[in-house]
Amino acid sequence: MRSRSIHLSDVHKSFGEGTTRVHALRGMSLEVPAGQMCAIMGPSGSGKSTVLHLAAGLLSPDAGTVRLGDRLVSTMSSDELSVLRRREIGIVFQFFNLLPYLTAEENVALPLRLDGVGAAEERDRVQRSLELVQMTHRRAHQATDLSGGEMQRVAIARALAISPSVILADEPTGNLDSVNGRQIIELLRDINEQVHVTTLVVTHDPVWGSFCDRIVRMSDGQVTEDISLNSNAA
Amino acid sequence: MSAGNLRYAVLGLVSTKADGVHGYKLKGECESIADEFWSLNYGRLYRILDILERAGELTVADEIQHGRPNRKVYRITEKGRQNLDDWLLQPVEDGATPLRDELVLKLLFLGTGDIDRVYPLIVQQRRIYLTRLAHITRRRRRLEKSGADSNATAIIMDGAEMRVRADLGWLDMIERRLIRQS
Repeated sequence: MRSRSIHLSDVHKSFGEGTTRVHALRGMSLEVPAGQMCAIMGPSGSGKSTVLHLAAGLLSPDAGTVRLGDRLVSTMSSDELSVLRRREIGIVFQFFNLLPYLTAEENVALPLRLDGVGAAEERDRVQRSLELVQMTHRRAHQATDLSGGEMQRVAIARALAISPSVILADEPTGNLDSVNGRQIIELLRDINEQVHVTTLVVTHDPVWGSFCDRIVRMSDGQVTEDISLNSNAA
Repeated sequence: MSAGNLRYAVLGLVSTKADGVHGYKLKGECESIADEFWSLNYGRLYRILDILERAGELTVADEIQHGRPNRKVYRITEKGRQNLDDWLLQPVEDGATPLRDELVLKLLFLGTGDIDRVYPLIVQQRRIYLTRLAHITRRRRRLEKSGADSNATAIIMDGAEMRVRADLGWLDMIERRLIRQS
């Protein structure tokens, strides 16, 4: 799958009603070119995760548009969104979300089975994905037998199995110690460099952000800083 | 790096060369070990070598080169090794000296009450720290991937990373303080 750019244009999103209404995004605009690895940082409640959920089509904006490449996500029906997520969007969460009684490879194969991918292609894609995250040796182990770092590797392999056009990672290191956290962010960076998949990572840790090409800082539902970290001088 | 510490840094590097080392190679070593953390021009390096020689901590001998000017080769003396050992095993006394920090001075005189002037400074400063952090991260990744990573280098990288992380955390605290006040 070719990599797609991510565009949010003047997006507004609020939750709740009346006095409990919270404005998560207030005219947020962001463009992540295809192949870029971009970190979103900012204080709690600044709207970071909302951006990710909008890009994944898990939320729809109150106003403004969300596009992946030339595909207008913000106007898709729920059926179209399901297909989009199954085929194009690899999502990595803080809490791994593996099915505990399935093996590592069964977890990775799951989105492919849901999408009706044939057995031979499924085997190939699972193998390739487990290789990318260096987990082939643990393929037959149940998710419950894996360490936190290993579970996140399997979750990343599951995201990669569909050959996504974007990877969206919401605090992927948030449930890991610093050693495993570093390995996971390095892995995401390596994958981004190898397969050039557009990667958007929400993180609160500047060190993990520093692995990216760019850091976008948010505050109060808007972009406050946009910092390019690409430098050939280093 | 302060002049006093540079003296020991140069002495330390010479001490690792049993067969001695000439100035050009020494400068290369400084760069390959510490890179951006330690920049040293030839003038300064030769001044330090001269001071160490006069203090009896280094010896210098001419190495004959055919068809080219002779080179000075430096070796550590017993006195130099003893002084280096004494220095290495002493804990570091120079603790927090916030007024040496240029940003602290600026914040002190800007005052945190003037948010319109302080906030843009914080934003620009954060950009500089994040860019520095990315530089450290790239360098660390290059070293790890090349297999040239050593424990000593990893320790230097860890320290540099932790210091930038602390600086960034400090800026976040200042920002929160500004927001509370505004």
